[in-house]
Amino acid sequence: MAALLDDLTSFINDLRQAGIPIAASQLDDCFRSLLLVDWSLEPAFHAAISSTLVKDAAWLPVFEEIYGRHFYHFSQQNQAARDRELHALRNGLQNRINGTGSQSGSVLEAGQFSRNPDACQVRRNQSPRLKNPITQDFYGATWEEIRRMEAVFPLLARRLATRMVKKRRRNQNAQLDYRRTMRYSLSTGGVPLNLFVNKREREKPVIVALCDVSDSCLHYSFFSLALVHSLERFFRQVRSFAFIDQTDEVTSLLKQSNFSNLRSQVLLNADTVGDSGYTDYGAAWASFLAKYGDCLTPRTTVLIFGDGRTNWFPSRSDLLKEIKSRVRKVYWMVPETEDDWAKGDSSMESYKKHCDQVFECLNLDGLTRALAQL
Amino acid sequence: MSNMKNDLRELQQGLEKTGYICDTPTATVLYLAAALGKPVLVEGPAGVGKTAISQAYAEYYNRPLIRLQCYEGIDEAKALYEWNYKKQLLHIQAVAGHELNVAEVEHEVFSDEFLLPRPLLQAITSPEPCVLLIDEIDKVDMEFEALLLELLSEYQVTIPELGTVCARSIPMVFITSNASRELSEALKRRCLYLFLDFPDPELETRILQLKIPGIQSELAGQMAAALRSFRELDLKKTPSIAEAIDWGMALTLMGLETLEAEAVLTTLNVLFKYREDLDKARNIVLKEQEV
Repeated sequence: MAALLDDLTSFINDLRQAGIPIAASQLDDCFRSLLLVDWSLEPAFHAAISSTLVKDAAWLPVFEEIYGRHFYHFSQQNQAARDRELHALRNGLQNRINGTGSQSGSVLEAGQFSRNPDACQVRRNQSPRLKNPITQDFYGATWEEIRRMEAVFPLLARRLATRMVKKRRRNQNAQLDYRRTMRYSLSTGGVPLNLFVNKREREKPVIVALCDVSDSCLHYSFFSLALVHSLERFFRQVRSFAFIDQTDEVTSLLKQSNFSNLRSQVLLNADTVGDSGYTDYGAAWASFLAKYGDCLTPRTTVLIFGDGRTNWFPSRSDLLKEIKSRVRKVYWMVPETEDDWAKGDSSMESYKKHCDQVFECLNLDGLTRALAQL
Repeated sequence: MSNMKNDLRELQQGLEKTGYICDTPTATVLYLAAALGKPVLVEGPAGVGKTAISQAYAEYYNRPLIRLQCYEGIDEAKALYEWNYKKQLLHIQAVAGHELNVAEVEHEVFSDEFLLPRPLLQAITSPEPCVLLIDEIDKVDMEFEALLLELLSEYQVTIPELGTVCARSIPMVFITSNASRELSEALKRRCLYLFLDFPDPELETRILQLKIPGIQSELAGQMAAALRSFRELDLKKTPSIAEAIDWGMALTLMGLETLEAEAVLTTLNVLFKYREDLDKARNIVLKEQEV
């Protein structure tokens, strides 16, 4: 019997190690479900496990991968061998649930799922730990991890949009609609039980997004660009610019391309490389002001996405100061923590003074949080 | 235990009779939800039949379907119960002339008679078991979600003036969500999770054949294949199953037996509701035609 029960144990350990949150009550539900379904029907077995353990579609691919690793042989076995194992396992589970009564979940927890830390350790080394794509840092992410982030991106964009709608509704400082309130109070004998308010539309800002697309924060910038554009309907207008040591407008490129070919489109078609080819914020500011200075108006909000690492070129924070003086707000989203700003070639310390606010956006979660505050 | 397979098949066939085809994993989740008395949280893209599944379930078991359509700003007065204050005011005015003590009037005014049950209260006070559909829960605020927890785990509702109302029968609860907001862990833990995706071409062919009388099987198969490639495009709005059925209706009305590029081009507006989407789909069809 041990084979399959052990497999189930290590399976759940692996799920948890991959970061899938599984509560004790979920284990309870899972075992109860397993006792209810006929295991010779593989889709039913699978559904019993997945519907009780995974409650977020973003985790399903991770779950499938681990499921495949553990139960592949299960579908390959012949009927008799499978039945034997299942019968034994079912008895095992039944005993466990009956024997421990209402606390079955927690006892299973203590007794079965954390007994052997060494075994866990071995497994952890065997299979690279999968991280949650939403809270994983951009810095140091592998291509595969970036692709996983891209997979959850549409979901995030949608959630952010919902948050923006809600915030917009809450923020309206409302005035009492006297006429309507009085009219409805007539049906309650002149007592105004319901108050009605006039809703006022808030003016939408014009967004100018400036993105550092050099190697050091490439992925970060593209997620930012795509996210800003997914929010287009909340703003009067969105204009995007990419730079390395020269600035070029990429608004129309973004509109034409979809998220998957965005990166190559911008890198191939935008004129972002000037004389040196190395990130030079000073030169980028200068060329931005010269070519597109007229898009800076008191209605504009400027968003800057970049790490502020200037390759020891002059930081020219005076130019950022000029930008600041011509627009409503300047926000900077940095993919580094504040501790790193003073290190190396980062000029964040001098740029910080000319920003209304600087946000640390280490991962997709941080990025969406920062944008939600616009 | 060995009956489980039969039960499952019966459920699938029963649902199919009401016009809903579901695969084995979906049927398993429904079966487990009924056996464990747990709500089902259904997620998936728009238009895959999240709402339809509860309607089919209610129809198959011949139970009343009580639906709570969620929207932003919904509160307990709209979802759970409300005091009929107009009636209460009238009542107070009517008894004003009589000699009655205050406590008695108060007691009268806060009784069942003046309570307006809203969908959630209706569902648990229903004498026969019903199907409760809480549609698009991601549209509501966090506070409202917390309100649902008591109902979903204990099947009871606490009304401050009346006390706790326990369910007379356990309803089968479906909660649908478009994942536009992260739901609370507490709610997710209480539910069985069912992720519905667009059906594979084989299943979609069966759906089209079931829903469109007189459709040629070859046409249905080709449509399903075409729909699959349409859904792979990067679209503003992906064609739903309902739209696919409308499309099939249109094509059969035109008397087609196999899919022809020209007919597809003239009927694309049934599937696509944005100009950009239409252009993309048209390009694909034209490219296909050249090959």
